[in-house]
Amino acid sequence: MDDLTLVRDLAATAEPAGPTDRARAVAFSRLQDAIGEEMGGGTALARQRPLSRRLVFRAAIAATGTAAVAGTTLLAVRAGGTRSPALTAAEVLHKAADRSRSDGTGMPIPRDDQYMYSREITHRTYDRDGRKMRLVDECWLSVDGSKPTRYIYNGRIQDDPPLGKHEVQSIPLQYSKLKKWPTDPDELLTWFRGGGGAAQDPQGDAMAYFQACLFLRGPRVLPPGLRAAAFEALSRMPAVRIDHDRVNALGRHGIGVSYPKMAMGFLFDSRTYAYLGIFERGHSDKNGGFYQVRGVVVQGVVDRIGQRPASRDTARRTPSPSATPSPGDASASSTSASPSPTSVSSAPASPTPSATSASPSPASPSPSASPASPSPTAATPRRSPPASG
Amino acid sequence: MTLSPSVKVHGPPAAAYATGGAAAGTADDSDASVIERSFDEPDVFAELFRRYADDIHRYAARRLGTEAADDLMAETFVIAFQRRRRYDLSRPHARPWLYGIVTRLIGGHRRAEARQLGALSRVVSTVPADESAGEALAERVVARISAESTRGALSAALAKLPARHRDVLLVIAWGDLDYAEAAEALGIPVGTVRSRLHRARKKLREALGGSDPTAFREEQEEPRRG
Repeated sequence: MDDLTLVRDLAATAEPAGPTDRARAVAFSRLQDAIGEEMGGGTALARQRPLSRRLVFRAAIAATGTAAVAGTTLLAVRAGGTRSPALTAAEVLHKAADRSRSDGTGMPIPRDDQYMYSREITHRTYDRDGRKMRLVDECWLSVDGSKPTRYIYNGRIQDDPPLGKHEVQSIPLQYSKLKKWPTDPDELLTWFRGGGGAAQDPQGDAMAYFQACLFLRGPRVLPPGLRAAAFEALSRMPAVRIDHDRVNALGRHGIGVSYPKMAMGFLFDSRTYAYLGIFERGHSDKNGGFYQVRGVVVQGVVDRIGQRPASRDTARRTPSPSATPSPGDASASSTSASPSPTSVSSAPASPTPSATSASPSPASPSPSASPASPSPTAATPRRSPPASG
Repeated sequence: MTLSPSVKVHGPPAAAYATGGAAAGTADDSDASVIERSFDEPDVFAELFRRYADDIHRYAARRLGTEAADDLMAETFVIAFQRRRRYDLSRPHARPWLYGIVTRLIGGHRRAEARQLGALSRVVSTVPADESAGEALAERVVARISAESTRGALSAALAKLPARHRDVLLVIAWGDLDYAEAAEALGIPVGTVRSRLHRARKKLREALGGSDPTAFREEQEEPRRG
């Protein structure tokens, strides 16, 4: 009709199909990096490699129940120009175990007919071109394994039927079975080593280490005490070592613990020793080798597949971690990663969906407060609508 | 012995950005309130990406091609995030603001833009090749050649426009902004938008004027008007 229409048509003849998933993911990850930079402590960090800060930050929150942990640590490390104190791997693992025990007190006790929900985030970097990806995995595990399990691997849904009569998982996923596992580190280590025998055999330990990796890797939700026991079991393996180099190479700020020649390691916050996740090398047929860090960001108990632990609308007006970088302010800072209305302290008796999350509610107790002290939000238990899609 | 869940390999990155937990609870908020919230909760800003990344990409791809658009999409949102505190919160919609950012970024890619316009002028017509029988085929060929020559002239004319005129024209034609939004995006008064658009269109008409390629279309429109 007129020249403007012609101009429109001009573009329409070669209408771009919109961004590919990959382009979108890369762009999103760049935004996440920028966000992570700010959340991680602002300008002091701007020059550092941004890949994982966000994940580390969020995972730190998830694992510790305190906010501003990663950011604070990074700032401190940066300002002081020093690395974390020189601890042995065993010491780090012991501290991590203590940390885990003190954090794990608030998890609700699920009923057998419920589901353990977990959400994990993976940050992956390909060797070939440095391309970064952020993957989000969710899963609903039937507590007693009697119902199907749903996985959503980065948007792709996979439903697995309950195990058949003669099927056995080497490490169970069902919470009801994991509850019966030993929380004694030595017993657990014996199990990791395949039932005993080669106590100090290096080869045996490598296998035991690998078992421990599989054990601690998501989406398995571990009952209280089990993760701590696993860390202490790891600490009893002589070859386990601190992995500074790997951590530095990744630009990650935490303490890596790994085993010689193994492609997986554990990452801990360098100040609080909170468990941040697993880092690992991997390979995909299409894109070659990659490095990734995966960490659980949300865990909780829900009644049915598709339901997620509480959304995060209470987090709205709370200050950002970067605005309150002092460790003492941890209780006041919110985490935007925290999904939380029904939080830890309300958990065992909370109405359905009895959701807790590994992340703290903005009002959740500070690390110095008693873990049992109820948070303001929990004082009036609220029914949280299942978060949709 | 089922071990699969712990050793799974990831599938295609179908919707990483959409399933991220960050945007939860923001679905119904206006852009301005999302931005305001992001002052304290930077994470929330991801919601704007979810809302507009595809739009921005499409616009950038029209102007610079897909490859450059991938990069510009990323850059736009990083810049927007970093400048979010300067966003005018009285404006509920952030789309013009984002278009402004990406348009300024495009300004740094004049050569790429010229290439893209060149490429557009050479795009093969999308007239379907099948059902090509006898008379109809001849007609199609004529129509196609005509359309292609129009495209060539149009692209050339666009390339020759002063950048500030082209920005106004294309943010409206390809970015689907209205005059007020275009003014907001480009940081100029609405009156300036009108006058630049007017001048840009005049030049395009002049460039196309010789053979008056618009005539064909106008004939088609006649019956509806009459």
